[in-house]
Amino acid sequence: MFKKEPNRLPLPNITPDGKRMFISLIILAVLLIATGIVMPSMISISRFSSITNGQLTVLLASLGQTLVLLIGGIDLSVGGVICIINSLAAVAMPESGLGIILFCLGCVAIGLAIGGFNGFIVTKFNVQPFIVTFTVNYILLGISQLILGRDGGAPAKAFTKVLMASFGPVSLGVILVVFIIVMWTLLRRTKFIRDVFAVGTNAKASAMNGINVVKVKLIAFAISGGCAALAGLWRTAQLGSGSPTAGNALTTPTLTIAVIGGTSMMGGIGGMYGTVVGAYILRIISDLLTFLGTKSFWSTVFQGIFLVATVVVCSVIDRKNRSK
Amino acid sequence: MSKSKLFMEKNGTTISRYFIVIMLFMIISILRPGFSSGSHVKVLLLEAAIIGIAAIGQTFVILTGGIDMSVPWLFTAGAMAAYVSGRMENVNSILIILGILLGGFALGMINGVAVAYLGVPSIVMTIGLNTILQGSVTGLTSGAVNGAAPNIIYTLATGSIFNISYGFILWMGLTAIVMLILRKTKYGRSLYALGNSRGVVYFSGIKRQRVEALAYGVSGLFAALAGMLMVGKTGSAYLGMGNPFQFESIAAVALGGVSMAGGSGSYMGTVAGSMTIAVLLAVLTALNLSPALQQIFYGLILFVAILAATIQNNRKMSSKL
Amino acid sequence: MADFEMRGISKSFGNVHALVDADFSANKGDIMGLLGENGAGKSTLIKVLAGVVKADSGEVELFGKPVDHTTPKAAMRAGIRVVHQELSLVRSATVAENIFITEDEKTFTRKTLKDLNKRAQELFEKIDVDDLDPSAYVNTLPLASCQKIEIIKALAFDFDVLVLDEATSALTEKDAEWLFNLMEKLAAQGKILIFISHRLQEVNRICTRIIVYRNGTDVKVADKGELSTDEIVTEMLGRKMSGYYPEKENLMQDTVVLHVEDIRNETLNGISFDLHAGEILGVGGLSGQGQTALFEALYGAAKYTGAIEVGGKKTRMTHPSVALANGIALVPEDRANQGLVLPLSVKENISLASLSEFVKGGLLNFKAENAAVDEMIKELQIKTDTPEVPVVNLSGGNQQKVVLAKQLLAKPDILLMYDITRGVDVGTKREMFNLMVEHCRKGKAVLFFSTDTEELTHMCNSVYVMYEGRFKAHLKDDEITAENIIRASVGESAV
Repeated sequence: MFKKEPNRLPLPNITPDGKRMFISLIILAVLLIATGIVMPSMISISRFSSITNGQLTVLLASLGQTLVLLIGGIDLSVGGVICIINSLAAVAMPESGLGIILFCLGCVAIGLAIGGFNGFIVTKFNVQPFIVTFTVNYILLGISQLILGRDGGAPAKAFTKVLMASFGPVSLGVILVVFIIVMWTLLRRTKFIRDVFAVGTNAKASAMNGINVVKVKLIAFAISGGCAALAGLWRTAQLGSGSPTAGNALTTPTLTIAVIGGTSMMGGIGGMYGTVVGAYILRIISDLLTFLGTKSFWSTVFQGIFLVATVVVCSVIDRKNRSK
Repeated sequence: MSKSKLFMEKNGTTISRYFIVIMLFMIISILRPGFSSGSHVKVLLLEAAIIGIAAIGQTFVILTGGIDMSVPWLFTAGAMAAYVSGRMENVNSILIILGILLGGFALGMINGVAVAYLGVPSIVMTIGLNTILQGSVTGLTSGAVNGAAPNIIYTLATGSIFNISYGFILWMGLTAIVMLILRKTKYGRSLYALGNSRGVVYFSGIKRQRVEALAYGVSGLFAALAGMLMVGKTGSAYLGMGNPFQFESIAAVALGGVSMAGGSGSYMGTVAGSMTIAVLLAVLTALNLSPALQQIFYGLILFVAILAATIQNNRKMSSKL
Repeated sequence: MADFEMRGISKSFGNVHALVDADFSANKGDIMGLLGENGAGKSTLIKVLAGVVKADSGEVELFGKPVDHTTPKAAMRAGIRVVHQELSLVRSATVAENIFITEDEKTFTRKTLKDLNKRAQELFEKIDVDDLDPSAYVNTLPLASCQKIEIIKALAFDFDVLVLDEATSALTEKDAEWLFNLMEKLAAQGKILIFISHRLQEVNRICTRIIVYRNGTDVKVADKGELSTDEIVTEMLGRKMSGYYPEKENLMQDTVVLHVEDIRNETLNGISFDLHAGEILGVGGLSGQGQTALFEALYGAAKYTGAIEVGGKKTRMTHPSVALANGIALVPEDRANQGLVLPLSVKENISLASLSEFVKGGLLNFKAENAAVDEMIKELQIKTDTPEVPVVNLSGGNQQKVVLAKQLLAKPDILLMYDITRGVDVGTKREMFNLMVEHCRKGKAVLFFSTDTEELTHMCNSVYVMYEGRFKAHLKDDEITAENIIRASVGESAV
């Protein structure tokens, strides 16, 4: 009766999420080769640095989104949080060094609080995460328009200067991405992350095993809010101005990135490596499209098709795995 | 359990929604005398009709336990198509309208097939389709269109009999049909069962995927119809005209007491929800609030309403378990 | 005072009093059998102890000290381990990860899988487990193994009280044997064991003492062997029970209503049989030997190759609707996920599988529907105030009857009954058995799978025993004995 698990892919002892990672890495490799062929000048460290700086906003928000997806939730308020923080930073950031640091900490605290609020409502009243975060997002967009009437404003000069610093051709953004990867490597085997996976796989079972499901979910949502706040700060530094609405368009890409990176919408499968890869995939595709002279609305169409295509493929794979 | 108690348990939520909208309307009418004038009420009801029609499909989809985020661009696509098609003078306008409705249904079915047959989570699938439509409609129309919708659409939106607009009458007719479908057809029964338990529906020999997919098709159809009515009302079509309806269609369903988890609630509730939204919007405008504040209040009210409805629903279920 | 005591426990859900001033006590080395009908309060008592449900009143003491059982975690810390009826494994994790999931460690040190695998292997050796691979993913294992892992999980850390709530229901016979040996060993070490099972034989065999619950409270405590099986059943029911099974009679005719030839799929390795009019054909064997796959294939809910002939007509079962249209109905295994839409009314549930019958001009004919539903309620004696009551308000036994009513309303000629008595009280069981006989008297047929060999011996005209996806034995007449079924179940030939 005892049968060893048959390896479906020729890979040694690989976890279900590892398999998906593998697929996204292949996509990335193919895209890089394509880029190398059509525009070889794009393959350089300085280009990589600028791409990274550009994509870090959405990547930061996607990290939080991934965590929430892992527990089986969804966070549609990341766009709203980015807008609020972006507006706030463009309007109210002090000039002094200490002031900037305190201000940034305050912004992250706001993000954590908003995320924590989402998590509280979701867990305490048992409301579907999409409807809570969707409604909260709507309110957040209203608030950010109160803070900043129209696109404009500017953060402290020192703030932009420090975050946009680069060490030779390597930008701070690249260093931060490396930092993210290292942190995930360290953290993913912790009790909390294992609990996240357990809750995402089966919340009821987790509760019976003594895992504090409410706490895990609440923290995941709070972290997502915090990540979105960081994304808002990064966007302010990167663009040097604020917008009360532009960040809202980033919610969909966070989902796309997480899903391309192999995180399941059903929870319990995925991780941050994939999300980092996903962020680059999305950017390279849009660069390729621009290079090919595609108009922006067709690029929008393609983004939608890409999201749908990945999620369809993943769902079909999921379904096959589950039926076995 | 007595019959009347059972009736209240089943319909109490819906009835309370009408109570709320009537109370709201009365209070405001006292504060602002012009509010309850015949012409204003007519406008309000037409607005409610557009929201309500856009929310028909949303109600179906939410009953299955899904969500349709693609209402806004299905709406805009319908509106644009109607606006452009007015130039085709030698084609019967009824045919044009039917064609557009069919197109909306077909687009909705793309969602439906992916969600029901391929197991794609509805939220991502419909966000994806919404994005695709946004790009496509923008690209195909190059941003601006000029034209005119078939006359019948204008008549439908602006004409009236005994000071009741045709649009509202159309809505009431549709409401009767929808209620008949939900209450008295095999499809309606299956829809409610599906929202509660997919497995049971399957093991009862019902083609669950067909039932589920159809709900998204219905959503596409009615989003397009609402878009056409909107063209009739405003006299023009523009990009992004459907955007408010992502929030409003969901809000109407939620305010109407339909469970966001699926399987319980009624379109009669959504009708009340649509009226509430129309009144609320009018009030927020009348108060001369800035758009930002309007959005905040509007969001907060919906937030509280959803929370209250969910708590009520949960309590009902937990007292039984 | 006993080593372990639960005193005056009360718990109500709305108007339903699940526990009323209930007591429970046990000493070190006891294996306590906790008995009672469905809804007697056993599960609630255990959930209170495990911290899953909060009691309205009452106290729990272990070795004279109060036990904190406010959350599952607190109860575990206090030395209480519960193997719940429902499986609670993380399916995308490995066996070893699942076993140690309750661990409290929070450090940044990397607990690699290797480390966990080693510890799991050590644990396996300690408790004589040799058929599980710690590094296997749970979603690749059969149900029986999952239940075993669930039990092992409870043993991973030190404890004083171990509760096994219907833990044997999905176990193979061999694993059940393993569990009983283990329980005796643990008891000898001075642990307190609480054993809940619907199978009286098991309780009689393993328990040193029994306690009977009825209507939410304890009614009888007895030592091993003090009460006969009949007396125990009487205590559980609170009334005298005469003849648990209907008298056996041969209603079988010669006409073949269902002919199955060489059905195969991932689980099934070539199944062939004939079902005759008036026949109750039993399917036995340990669970997880392909019975689910067989029943689902016959009902169109699983893919297969091979031929199925209904009433002489070859039919491809592609969807449950096809099966129903051909007069085959299934009473499924999983009541909550396959049988009933709990929040919907009794009426809506009963008519769900035969809605097309009531459609007239596209609309449902409520009058015809109500009449049909009322008749089913009367025929099956379903206890409900009105058909409009949500089915979730009904007791377990009545819910099972609603499932049956739903499938019967589809007017099947062939009833597939999959372990229908699992988790059902004795009274309802008896009514269901009578119903099976009545069904056959009308010249219709039943295919009956049960994990309870006694039910098969009492009910069936003949019994096929399944083993590894095929029929291992076909028992007829005098050959249908519990012993033969069990022998064939473990792969030996019948005597």
